[in-house]
Amino acid sequence: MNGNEFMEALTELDSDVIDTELPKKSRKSKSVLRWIAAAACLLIVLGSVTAYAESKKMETKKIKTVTESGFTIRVDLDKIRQKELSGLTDIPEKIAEQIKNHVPQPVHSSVFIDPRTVTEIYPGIAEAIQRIGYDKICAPQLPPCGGHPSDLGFSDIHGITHYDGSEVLLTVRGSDAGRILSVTISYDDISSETDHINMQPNIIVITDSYNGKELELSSFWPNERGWETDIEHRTTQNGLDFELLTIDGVDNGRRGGLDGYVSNGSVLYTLHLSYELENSERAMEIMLAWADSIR
Amino acid sequence: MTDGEIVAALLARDESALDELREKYGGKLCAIAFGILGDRETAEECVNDAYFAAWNAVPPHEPTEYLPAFLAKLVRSAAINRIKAGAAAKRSAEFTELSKELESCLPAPYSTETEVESRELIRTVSSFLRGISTEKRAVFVRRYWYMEPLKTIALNCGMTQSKVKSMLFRVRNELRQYLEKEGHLL
Repeated sequence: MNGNEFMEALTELDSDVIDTELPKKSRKSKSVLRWIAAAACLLIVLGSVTAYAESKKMETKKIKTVTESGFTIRVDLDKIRQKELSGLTDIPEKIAEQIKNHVPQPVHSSVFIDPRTVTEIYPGIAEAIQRIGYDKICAPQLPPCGGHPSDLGFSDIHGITHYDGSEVLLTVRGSDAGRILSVTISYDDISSETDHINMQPNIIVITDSYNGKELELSSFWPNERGWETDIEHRTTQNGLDFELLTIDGVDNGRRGGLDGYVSNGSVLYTLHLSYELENSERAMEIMLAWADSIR
Repeated sequence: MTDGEIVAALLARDESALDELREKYGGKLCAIAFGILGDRETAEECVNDAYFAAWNAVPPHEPTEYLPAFLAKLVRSAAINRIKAGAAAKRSAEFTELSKELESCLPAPYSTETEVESRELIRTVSSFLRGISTEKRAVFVRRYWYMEPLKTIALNCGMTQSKVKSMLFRVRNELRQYLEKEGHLL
């Protein structure tokens, strides 16, 4: 019996089986967007964080189409005062020193070093959070990580050559005047479990030195037909807004992606997961556990 | 008319039973055929074929307790015959794709020498589907019996397409293991 014959024979399945009703589930909101692209996975471009007018009010996160080649996530975050970053008091001085000693790179150089940015490496997320000294940042739950060479390209951006992916990067961006504008904790890793789910978590805060209202994250997103994005708005167990993007059709339908955005007011947590299709359920478990652990 | 009355009318060779079938189940049967074929005109032809088949099949069948499923099977069979005959070229590729997916469930090489063996296989599949969760069973049946698109299933059950695909992948693997366990090996 071949597949065609099996399909045909299935006609004679028992009547009660055929009549099985689909269980209905509610979804708070849903929209389907189609994108055209060549990129292999979602990568949040933290370097493109921009800001607009003054605002202290935390609103919901908005995901908005901007161009055919991608979309933009806009997040209204509470801005914090620089002095609340009690562990980073030495950073303005470091930035001033870097600006003073900066040697511009050749125009065609692939290495971009921004003298207003300070990047440090820590063995784990707890150490990075401790360094910042802002007590509203928590370490979201993630499964154990195995570590692999980074896909994020930080070595090119910040001249770091020994980052191996299992360590945590702390990136502080400042202004020409040495004021801290944003702080990001990030790493790029693969779950050490057998499901090989690639995880890219980030934690972001912005300060009142930003002249803007919204945090704007640009994503590299697909540009090819067949890639689809489901966007759901959820609420975590701790009552926080949670935007969940599901990406289908990656790598000729063999891979999928999940992107989560959770904010507790002044801190934005993002998580990108990329996985083989058979690991979809496990990826969703990781995503939901991550979101629910944020407080 | 109740289903019992319609079947009684068919048994009595009362042609008004066919009008009752059209009235009561015409819409649902058209939707099933259209879902498989993607062509309304051909779907309507299939439904008419199904009425004719029902007329011929009752008796000996007396589907009093399962008339909707009985008719649905006749429509599905008619729709697949149309695909095989090339009357629904657009769906032929999808049918082949679904067939290939299902073929992976069969312990290879698998052969059913007789109609009895084939029925035994399908009886085992029914038994397997009864043993899994309602959600998994519904998704499997929607995909491989009604041949609904992934997007439709995802929308109707509040899942993402990724989850539907992943669920189908797992159910196919479970089905294969079940068939092996039940001795459907050559």
